[in-house]
Amino acid sequence: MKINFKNILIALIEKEFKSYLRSINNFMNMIVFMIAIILLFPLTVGPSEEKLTLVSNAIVWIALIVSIIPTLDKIYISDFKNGWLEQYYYSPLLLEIIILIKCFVFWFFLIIPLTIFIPIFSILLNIPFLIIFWNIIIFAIGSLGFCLIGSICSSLTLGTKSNNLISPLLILPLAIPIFIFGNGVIEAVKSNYDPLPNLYLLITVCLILLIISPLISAYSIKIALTK
Amino acid sequence: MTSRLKDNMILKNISLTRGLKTIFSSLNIEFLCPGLNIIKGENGSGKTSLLMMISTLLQEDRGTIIRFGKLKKNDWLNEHILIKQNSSLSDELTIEENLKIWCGLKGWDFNTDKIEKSLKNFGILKYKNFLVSECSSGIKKKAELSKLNFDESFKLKCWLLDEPLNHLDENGKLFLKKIMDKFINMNGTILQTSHEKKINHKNFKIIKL
Repeated sequence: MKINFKNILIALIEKEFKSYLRSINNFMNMIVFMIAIILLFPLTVGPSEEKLTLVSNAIVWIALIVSIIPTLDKIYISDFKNGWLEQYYYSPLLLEIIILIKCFVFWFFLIIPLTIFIPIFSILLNIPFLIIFWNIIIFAIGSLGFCLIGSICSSLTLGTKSNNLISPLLILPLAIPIFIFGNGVIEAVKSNYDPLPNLYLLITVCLILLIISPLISAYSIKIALTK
Repeated sequence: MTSRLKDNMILKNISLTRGLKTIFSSLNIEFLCPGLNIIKGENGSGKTSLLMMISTLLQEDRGTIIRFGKLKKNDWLNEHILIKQNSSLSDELTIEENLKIWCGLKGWDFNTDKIEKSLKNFGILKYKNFLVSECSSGIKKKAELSKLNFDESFKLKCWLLDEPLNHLDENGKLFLKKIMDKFINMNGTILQTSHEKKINHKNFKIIKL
């Protein structure tokens, strides 16, 4: 029978897009959570501008990461519960490629729109424009890495009942290289050094994840489906 | 002998365990191909596990499964449909979108006319724009079974149906019987689990677990 691979791609992207559009409250939760952290932090640090300048960049990053983590472990859970992961398994397209597309769609529709909020929050926290520019670039690249790590953790915890507890524990250690190299770029910009070496390392980490994440995720999804 | 093997589905000396429970040990079945195979058994006897194992979702511990002359796994995945007892439709999408995307994922053409025709035959065309979460179990089941009513589905080798008659009304049952007969006439093989006593098909084999 003739199989049209273009149809598979269109169907997959359409399904993901419509699912995210109809569960827009997940996205709103992320934004509300981010706003809460960014508004509460200056109140707890106190009115000193010096202290705030020192930690302001960290606040934006922590707000972004903490608001993303709860959604990362839900990449596959609804598809697993309503049987769509099985349909992906039966699809003529390799499960690894389907997972890669799912991660890209998740990144594009849920995470990239968050970058719009970086300049707004950065202005609130008095972060210089040059740092805001680099923050947007690092976050756009680093968040793809987060999605790929999230994919591994989400697929590993599919069969478990208490995946809410395990996922953050799995995600955080794997995300440390992204934190280190991302922060390295910002520190280099602040001290007038060349930020590119750290940026290249960050891209390398994401590229490595781009290869290993679909393989591990597909393997653990197959285990979860057959148990 | 080889030509006979090509058209047959045979389980040889199959053992399957899930967790600590042994579901089958040394199971030997030769299915009727083409034809309707009705798998009967008490609750927990392993009917669904048998279908999942044939569909490659479960891996047998021991033994061999000959699927139409040892089809390769990828070819087999493209040559059968498994309709499970529980609905596998996404709650966030409408019935039409679910079927459209399902066809797309199989690599088949998806156009609205084809899906509308299939839904119309099952008498649920008016629910096509309803979200699955708003539909009753019967409508979900009919939407799920509409997957069998596409032209491409009739070209497959095998349908695996896990209790397809559950939640169906009389019209639904009649139409399902009609498309099952049509599929068997087109040299298709159906493996169906069922608790029904009365069987209205002509060419069938009962397998007791």
